[in-house]
Amino acid sequence: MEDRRARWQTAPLPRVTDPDPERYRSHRSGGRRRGSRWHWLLWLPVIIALFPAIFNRAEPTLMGLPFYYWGQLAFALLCAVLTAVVHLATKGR
Amino acid sequence: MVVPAQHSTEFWIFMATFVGIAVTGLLAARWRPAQNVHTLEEWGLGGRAFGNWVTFFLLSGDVFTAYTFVALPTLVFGLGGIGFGMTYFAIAFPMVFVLLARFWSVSHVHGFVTPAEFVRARFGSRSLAAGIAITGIVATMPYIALQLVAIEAVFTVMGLPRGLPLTIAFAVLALFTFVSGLRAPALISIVKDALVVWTVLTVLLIVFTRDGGWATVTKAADTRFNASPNPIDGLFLLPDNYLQYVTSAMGAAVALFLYPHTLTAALAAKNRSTLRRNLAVMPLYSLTLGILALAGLVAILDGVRPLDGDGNTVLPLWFDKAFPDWAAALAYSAIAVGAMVPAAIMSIAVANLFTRDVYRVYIKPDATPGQETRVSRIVSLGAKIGAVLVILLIDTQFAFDLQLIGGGFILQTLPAVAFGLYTAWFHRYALFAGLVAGLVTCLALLYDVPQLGGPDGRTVVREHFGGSAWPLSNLGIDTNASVYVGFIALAINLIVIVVGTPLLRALGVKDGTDKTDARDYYADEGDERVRRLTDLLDGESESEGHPSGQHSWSGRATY
Repeated sequence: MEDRRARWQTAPLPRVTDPDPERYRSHRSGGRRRGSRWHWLLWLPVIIALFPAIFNRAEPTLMGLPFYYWGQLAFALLCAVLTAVVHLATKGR
Repeated sequence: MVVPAQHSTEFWIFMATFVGIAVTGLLAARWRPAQNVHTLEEWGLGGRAFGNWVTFFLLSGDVFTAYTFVALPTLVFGLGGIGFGMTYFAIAFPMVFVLLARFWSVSHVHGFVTPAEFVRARFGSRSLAAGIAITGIVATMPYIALQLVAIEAVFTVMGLPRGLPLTIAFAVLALFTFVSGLRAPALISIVKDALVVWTVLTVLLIVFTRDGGWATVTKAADTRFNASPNPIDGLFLLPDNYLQYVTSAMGAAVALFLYPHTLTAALAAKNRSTLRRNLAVMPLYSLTLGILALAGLVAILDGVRPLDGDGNTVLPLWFDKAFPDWAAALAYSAIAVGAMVPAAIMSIAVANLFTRDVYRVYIKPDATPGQETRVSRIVSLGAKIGAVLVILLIDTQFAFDLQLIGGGFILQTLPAVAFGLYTAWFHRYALFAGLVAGLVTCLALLYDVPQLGGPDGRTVVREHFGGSAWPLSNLGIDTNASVYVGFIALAINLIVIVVGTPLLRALGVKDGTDKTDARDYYADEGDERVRRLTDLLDGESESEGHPSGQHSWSGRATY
């Protein structure tokens, strides 16, 4: 048991040389890759969601449904569009 | 068996669907059969090989549980605007999109099956990992029980007796999970989504073909909320409730990422791009939940009254009233199947946590992949039996209390699991102390929240565990606003970690070794790095006498 524990604590991760170190150019400073600026877009739906005063209203109605309800469903759509854009923009980088 | 006379059409269609599901679940083991079934990667993660469509179905079946489908319309029916929490998804999905991809990559490189394994490798602490695993198990168990509550609501409306039908339903679920592992819910979730989409289309069709459409619906709801003396309900949010609404949404969104069953379903994706692509379109699925929640408003117009005071019967009752019999039966099946998929994944997630982070670390460190799988199968069975016993023997309220606690508990794993994906700065013991402080705070605060009810919504119905809104007036601030309890506990947790980390380092307490590399967090299937690591590790495990079979991932977690 002791033995096992010691090994578990000291077992080194095998060193592997990356074939294309350029891809991870700045990984030492926080592990960010190129293209991550696109991710800022994802904050948009989050920020809207944090301020209910923006969408807590009746007008404009959509087919009789108050904005509070259909607007939240529309955010879901917006969310899907934004994540899809970010995915496509950062794919394969 | 007694067929309820009034609901015989519904009953037989429901039964036919159910039998179809049971057969599908059992046959799932033969679907893309594994070369070696007796490894945890095969049973518990479907061989990490699910492609585009299956990943979508599995994740949506996991995130949108039957209980949510039943509980959300109930909330909207009872309270109106504050129950319509779609903003939760606007917070959850962007976050999950980024975090799950990182989690998938690091798990793929190192062969992790559970979040606790990641924590063990990242922070080098077995006890911290065990703490994360146990918190995950405790938080997920009541969630399984709630899926039963959803099925039970359907059975009640169909007029079936309590007890036996529920036991049979779960026995079937237990059987096919035991045999097929994660392949069963993956295959069944396809049927589930077809049924859900069908149900949602029926709801829309019914509302649109009515006179007045949504305008009549919202008018009727507005009238009822205005007539009730309860200060919380209403078609819209009250400014006093903003803080509670936002903090609850944030808490639930973060919890969505942290719940072990979400991570299990994500790890089953065959590569990083598949996972990201599916997560990108997942917000669309929340439209189905949104429309079902709106059905709660329609139920007000149609004058639905909950059966035996059980709020969860609102949606099934409305189906019964507004849908033709056969369509109602399909909607019931959607709920029942929608309960089985997440219940199966949750029980597998709980089993994997126990096997990889308790059994393998503390009980039998040299367990073979075959033994691991056997233990996982038995534990997943135990998790389901436990859930049935809680519902049938103790009472449903107990499950709700536990779920309330579990939701706050799982949030406390945020620093280690989610922040850990970005930084290893935290000291392992500071994380552990923070986790404990968070759990204790959460439990203590929830214990202190009374349940308010009565006609005016101000009478104390129950002394403890009455909700998760903690009034800020407790701090002496003159306001009616309240905060989600899990949030306060998380704040304390983080304070302990941020203060504790430099303190422990100043005292010279040794840090754990971080076994991950910054590049691991972006790795994808077929990357040069991943393949070489696999070869190296497989070579190592063979030389130790661990026959790892054909599958390259088995017997890997040496951390």
